[in-house]
Amino acid sequence: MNGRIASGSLLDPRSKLAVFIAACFSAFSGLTHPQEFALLALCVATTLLCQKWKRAFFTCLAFALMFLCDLFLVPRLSGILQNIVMLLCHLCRFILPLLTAFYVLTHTSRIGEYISAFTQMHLPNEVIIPLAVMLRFVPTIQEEWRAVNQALRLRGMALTWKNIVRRPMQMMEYMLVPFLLQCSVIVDEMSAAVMARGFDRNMPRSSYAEVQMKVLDWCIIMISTALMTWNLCF
Amino acid sequence: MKTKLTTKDLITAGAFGAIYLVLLTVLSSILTIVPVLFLATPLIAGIVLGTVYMLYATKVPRTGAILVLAVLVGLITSMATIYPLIFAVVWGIIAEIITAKKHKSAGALAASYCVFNLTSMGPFFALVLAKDAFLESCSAYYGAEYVATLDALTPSWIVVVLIALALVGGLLGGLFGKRVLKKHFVKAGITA
Repeated sequence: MNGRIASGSLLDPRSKLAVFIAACFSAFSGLTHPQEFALLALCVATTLLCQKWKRAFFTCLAFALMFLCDLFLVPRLSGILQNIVMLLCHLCRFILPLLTAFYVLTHTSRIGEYISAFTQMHLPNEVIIPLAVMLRFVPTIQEEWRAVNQALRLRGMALTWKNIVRRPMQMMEYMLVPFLLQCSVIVDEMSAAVMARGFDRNMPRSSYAEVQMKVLDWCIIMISTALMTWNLCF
Repeated sequence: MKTKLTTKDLITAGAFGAIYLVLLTVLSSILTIVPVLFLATPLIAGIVLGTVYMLYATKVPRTGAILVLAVLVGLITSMATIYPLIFAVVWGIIAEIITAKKHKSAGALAASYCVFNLTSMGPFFALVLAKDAFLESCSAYYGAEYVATLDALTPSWIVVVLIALALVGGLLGGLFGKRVLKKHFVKAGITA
């Protein structure tokens, strides 16, 4: 590739985005069992293609557990317990493909790949930058949130139900303020980094992480589209 | 004050959009477990997210910044139908008009958040516009009992209550955000 490195993952960010969009639309339109299996298979396949073996395994395991629970456990329970189990098995099962697709989307591509992919789609800068930053920022949010929560737990103020009910306003302030402070510092650093890469020039940029749509990507996009139409129409 | 959005502003918009959306999603997925709390989502989300909004708007005092956030929120909340996106753009524009020319005033920002928080009602427009279809798809997720409770809780005038809740949530969130902003962020010098 003309001396530039090819991106580490096999998939183009765009095909990941297509899977995610398909999962979004499908998960909220109500699914029958075959549709559910197809959707999950697609999501797990993308996870495997991104070399996240463990994640794919646990997704399948969780799905199987919930499915079996739903089939065998729910009819035998009654009352409030049935409600809770049903909610867990049902709702979480619907959301599972969505979560998997979201994980793949946010954790397996670098920001450069997104920007390069979106640039190839000829989107204006006003769309590319917020979108790419948004996708890149999700793992950071998780990290920072965990760090703040850990620090609070050390001081006996962890984010637990007891604390939330007893002093909601205080909890909110203690969680949000350090979290936002951290994020805001990171944002400043990130914009400095982006400036250093010359984003604010009005010139076409070249990219270090070159991405290309390959046959596999087209296949995934086709499958996602097909699945989406299937789910939405039937 | 420059009015055009720079690259730096766009980055901030993307990052805060991510924070806003992740918090909104987490909150609303926890709250859906109980039907009553599900309906209170605009109120609770409004209170929590007010701070995020206020910090964002103070950090990027430009025309169009709020609209960008509104579009991002609209895009994510309009997974099932297109209405939330349209409404989100409308609320975003109104919020922009309220803050126009006084981006430094925390009061105006709190007022604009009041309107902006109506975007968190996105999922509920489905409840109002196509109640039966919504309840039907809900029963696939939550089971019949949950839907029955939800149905009993949502007579046709519920939309007024929801809007009121969203406005109150926005107001409380805005005021809380204003206080936190003054107490912590201005002192730390990150609102500059």
